[in-house]
Amino acid sequence: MTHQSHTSRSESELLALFEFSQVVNSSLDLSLILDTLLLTLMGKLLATKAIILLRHERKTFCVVNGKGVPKNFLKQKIDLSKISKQTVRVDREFSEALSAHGINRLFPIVSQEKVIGYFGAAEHSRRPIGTAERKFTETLISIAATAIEKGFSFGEIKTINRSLDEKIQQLKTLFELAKEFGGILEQDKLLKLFSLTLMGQVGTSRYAICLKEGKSIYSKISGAYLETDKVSIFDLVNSPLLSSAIPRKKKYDLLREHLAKEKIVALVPLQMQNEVKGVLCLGERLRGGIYSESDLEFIFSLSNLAFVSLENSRLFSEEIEKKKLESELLIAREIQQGLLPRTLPEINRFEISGVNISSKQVGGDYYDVIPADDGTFIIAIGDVSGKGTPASLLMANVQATVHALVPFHLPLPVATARINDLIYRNTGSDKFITFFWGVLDPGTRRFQYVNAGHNHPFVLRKDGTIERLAEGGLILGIMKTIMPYQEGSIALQSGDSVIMFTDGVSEAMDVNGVDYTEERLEEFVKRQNGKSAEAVLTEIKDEIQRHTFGAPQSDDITMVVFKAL
Amino acid sequence: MSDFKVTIRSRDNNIQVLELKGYLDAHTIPALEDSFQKMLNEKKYRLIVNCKELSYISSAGLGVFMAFIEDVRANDGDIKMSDMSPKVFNIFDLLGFPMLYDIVKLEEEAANKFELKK
Repeated sequence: MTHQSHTSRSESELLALFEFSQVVNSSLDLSLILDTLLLTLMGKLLATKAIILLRHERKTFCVVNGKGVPKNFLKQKIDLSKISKQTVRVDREFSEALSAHGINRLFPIVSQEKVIGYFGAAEHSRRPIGTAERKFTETLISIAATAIEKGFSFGEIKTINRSLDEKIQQLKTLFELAKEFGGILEQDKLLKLFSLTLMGQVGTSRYAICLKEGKSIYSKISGAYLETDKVSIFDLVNSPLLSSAIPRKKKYDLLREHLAKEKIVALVPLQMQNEVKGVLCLGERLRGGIYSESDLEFIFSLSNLAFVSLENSRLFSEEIEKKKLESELLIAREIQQGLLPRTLPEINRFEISGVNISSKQVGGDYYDVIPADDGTFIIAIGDVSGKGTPASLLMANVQATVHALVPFHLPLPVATARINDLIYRNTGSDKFITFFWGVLDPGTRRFQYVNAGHNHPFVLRKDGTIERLAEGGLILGIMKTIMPYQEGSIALQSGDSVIMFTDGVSEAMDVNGVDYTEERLEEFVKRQNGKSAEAVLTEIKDEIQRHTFGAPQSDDITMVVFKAL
Repeated sequence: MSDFKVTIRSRDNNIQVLELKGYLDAHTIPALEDSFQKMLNEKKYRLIVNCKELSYISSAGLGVFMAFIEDVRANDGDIKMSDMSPKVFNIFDLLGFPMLYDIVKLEEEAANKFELKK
C-alpha cells in the first residue's frame, strides 16, 4: 500500500465517520439510526449478513435489526453466555442461535461503561476483518452508541408520554363526568351520558348494569340469566376482573357459560360505601384487544362515579315522592279534621265525649253527633277502607250524606240502605265503610241503631255487665242493598254507658306487631264501671297507649262514649 | 352553554357531510345524536364527519360515534372522519379510534374511499 493511498483511505474513512456521526446524531428515530449503522458497517466490512442486538434483560439480548438474515430471526431473544466489552468471536459454545445464522463476530455497543447491545456480522472466511477495519468499526459503533441510547430513551419517553396522555384523557373524562353527573338529577339523562362515555372511552356498545336491588339496565345484552342468578355474580365480583379469570369452580360454571354466550368479557363491581351494590358487565371492545388492568381500574372509577350519582338521583326522586306524599297526607288530615265535630252538642241528662287520633298515614275514621229538629240526636261512627286522601274524600261523602238525610227522619234501616246504595254506585268495589249509627232520644232514653259491619259497640250497664250492639247488616259500599238492614234498640238506665270505637282501638299494635284485641278491650271496659264518659274515654286511650308504647300508631283511633246520668 | 353546531350538506354519490363546529361535550352531544339519527331515518348511510372546526370532543362525544357505527355499517354504509386538528386527532388516537374508523386528512380522500368501495 502506498503512502498516498493510505492517506486518501484515512481521509475517506474520516469523511465516512463524519457523515455517519451527522446522520445518527441529528436523528432521534432509533430505527433510522440502527439502519444507518447496519448498512454503513455492512458496506465497510463487505458483510452479507449483519444484525444489531439490544439488551433486553440481564444476559438476554434482542435482535432488533438485521439484514441478510431470515425475517423470523428478528425480534428473537438471545441468551449470551458472557457479556464482553471486547469484540468477540462467536462460536457455537458462545451462542448456538447466532452461529446457526452465520453471525461469527460480535462488536459490543458500549455506552457509559455499559454494554447496551452488540453489532454482529458474518465474517467471510475468505475475507477476514483486518485490524484497521476492526478499529474503524469500533469507532463507528462508539459514535452510534450515544445516539442509540438517546434514540432508545426517546422511544421510551414517547411511550411514556402516550400512556401519560391516556391517563390525562381518562382524568379529563372523570373530571368532566364528575361535574356533569353532579348537576344531573334525571336518571335517564345520567344513564345516557354514562353509556355514551363508556362507549367512547372503552369502545364497547354491549354492557349491562346489574343491580342487587332495583331495575337492572341492559344494552345489547340479554339479562335473563343475570336476573335469575344474582347470587353467584355478587358472590364473585369484589374487584374488577376478566371473565377469563373467573375461578374454575363448579358454582361459577353456569355463570361462566352465560357470560360466554352473551360475550361479556369483563366484570366491574359498583360500590357504595365499600359495599357491592351492582356489577357492570362489559362486552368485547369493538376495536379489539382485551381490557388491561389500567382500563379496568379506570372503568371502575368511572362506573362508581356514575353509580353514586345514580344513587343520588334515586334518593332525590324518593325524597320528592316522600314530600309529595307528605303534602298529600297533610291535605287528607285537613279534610278529616274538618269533618269531625269541633264541639259536641249538650244532651239533656247524658254525658257524651268523642276522640279521634289520626295516624301518620291518616286512616278514614269518622264520628259525628248531630242534633235533629225533633230533639233526638244522631250519633255515628265509621271507618273507611284505605288511607290518605282517597279515604278522607270518601269519608267526606259519607258525612255529607248522613247530614243530608237527617232532616228527612227516615227509619234508620231505610236511610242506611240509601247510604249503602249511594256509596256502592259511586265508588269501586275495593272501597267500603264499616258504619254504626243510632238515634238517641233523651226523652224516652231509647237508643235505636243500625250496625253496618262495624265493630260492635259495648253497652256497659250500671251493674258492670256488657252487651254488644250487633244488629244491622252488611258493610257499606260492597253491594247493592238486597237484604234490608235490621234495626236494634236498647233502653238506657241511669249509669249505663255506650262505648263506640273503631278497629284502630282493638287492633292497636305493640312493638312486636301484636294486636290489642277486642277480648282485652271488653275486659278493660268492664272495669271502667261507674266512671264518667270522659273518664272512660281517657282510660281506654291511656290503656291503648300503654299497649302500643314504642310502636308507631298503625291506624286512626276513634271513640265515642255516651252515658245516661 | 358551550357552542356547538352541526351543518349537513350533500356530496355526489349519495354522500352526506356532517360539519362539526365548536365544542362537543355532555351539553352539546344531543345535537350530534340528533343529526346521526336524522341520517338513519332518511336512510343515508354514507357519512363523512368533517371536523375542521371541531375544537374539542369529550369521551361521551366519541361514544356517539360508537353508538351509531354498527347501524350504519349494517346498512353497507360507513362513518368516515376528516380534517381533524392535531389536538382533536390526539383524542381519537388515544382511545384507539383509528383502528375502527377511517380517519383521513381531507374530506376529498374520505369521499374517494366511498367511491372505491362501490
